[in-house]
Amino acid sequence: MLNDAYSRSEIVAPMKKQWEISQEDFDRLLDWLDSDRDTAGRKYEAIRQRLIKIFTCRGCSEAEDLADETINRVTVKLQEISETYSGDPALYFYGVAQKIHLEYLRQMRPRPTPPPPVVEPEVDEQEYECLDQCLNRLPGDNRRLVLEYYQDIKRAKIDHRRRLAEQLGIAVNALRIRAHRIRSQLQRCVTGCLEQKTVN
Amino acid sequence: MEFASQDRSLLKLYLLGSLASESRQEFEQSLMVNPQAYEELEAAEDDLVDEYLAGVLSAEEKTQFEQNFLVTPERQQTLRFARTLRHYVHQESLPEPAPTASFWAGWGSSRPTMRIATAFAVLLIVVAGLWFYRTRTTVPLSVAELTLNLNVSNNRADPVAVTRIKLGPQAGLLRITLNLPPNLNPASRYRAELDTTEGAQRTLETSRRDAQSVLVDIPANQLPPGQYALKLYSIGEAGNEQRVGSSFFTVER
Repeated sequence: MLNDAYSRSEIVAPMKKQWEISQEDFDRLLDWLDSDRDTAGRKYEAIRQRLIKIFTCRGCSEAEDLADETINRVTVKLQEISETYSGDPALYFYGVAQKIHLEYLRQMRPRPTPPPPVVEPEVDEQEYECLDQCLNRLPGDNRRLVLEYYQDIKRAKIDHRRRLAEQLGIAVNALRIRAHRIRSQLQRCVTGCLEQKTVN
Repeated sequence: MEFASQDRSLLKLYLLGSLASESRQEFEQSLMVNPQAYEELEAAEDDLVDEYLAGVLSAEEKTQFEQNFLVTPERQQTLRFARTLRHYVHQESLPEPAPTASFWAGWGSSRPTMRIATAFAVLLIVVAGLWFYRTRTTVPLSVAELTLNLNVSNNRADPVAVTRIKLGPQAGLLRITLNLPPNLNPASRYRAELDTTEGAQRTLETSRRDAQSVLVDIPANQLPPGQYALKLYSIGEAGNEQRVGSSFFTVER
């Protein structure tokens, strides 16, 4: 874990306001995103995900809280702007996120240089077992693809991936994205497996 | 901002926190509205983590990665997962290690399921080896002998003798003694050719010879039941070949 300079109480709490978001406000937000409730829900999730990613990429350790703060502020402001704002709502969220990031930077104390991350250099045996289980749950084609794709053959890797893409009849970048999707799926599975092991 | 796959270096700079402010803003706006950009960014994260683990990042990039990229527990978890995946794939693609002293070190640190599977495989190999050894040693393969006279006539109307040979299950080799015609000038070398009724031909080395005969050894497993023609050629000093004669035999099982 990173050091205490990044703790939630020091950074987020002073800025965070106790917004009272009513169900009515939230419904209005969803209506603004899309008239279809399911589509609106998906758009909401996508916007939240992207805000978290942006805050994370800007080096904010409490990215989720900052994303939620952004959404809260937009929700409260919505009555004023929903009639006049034109354009993709996602970009309005982005504008608000920019302001929140500036506030975040202003409120932050000078950061000490964070220590190197403490990530165990050894492979965790439980995680390895979970990965094995999760790989075995994948459809055969996906399992083969991920094992082939991530073979670390150093200099030959590019050629290896090009050949693999040719075999599958897709572009190299499409292969990269496909491998990423399977990897994300695997990581979610492994996380769930590890949580299960902790519970047991 | 239209996202193109060639913007990999831009994504890398963005993830390391070193993209210029204007470009960053432009990219983030694209990220908010373009699902492809988001997926590309996530794939670029995978690539970056893999590059870190492979040790191919520059010193500056490595520092940026550790100070800017690994800011959240989720990303540290991603790094752990990537390390495990890398290790797993590496293990899967390794050739079987030779049994050396380091085997036992690896044995101790391997997974229990892997240890059980390995032990089972070793046991299976030992049992199969013992069975094979027992089969080989208790019932030795035999050599079946066949003596044939070479037919030297070129007249197809002449009757030819066809000798039958029954090869039992233990026959490992058919040794054919080809009796040479009495008036044949001795040659320095001979070559035999085996023809089947299906038209297949195979050249055979003669294994031993004296003034009256030539020996030809044929592995029994290469002789399925059927009729065969064995032709003998003499090879002169200059390498010129001359047909000596032929014999016919039928293999039965």
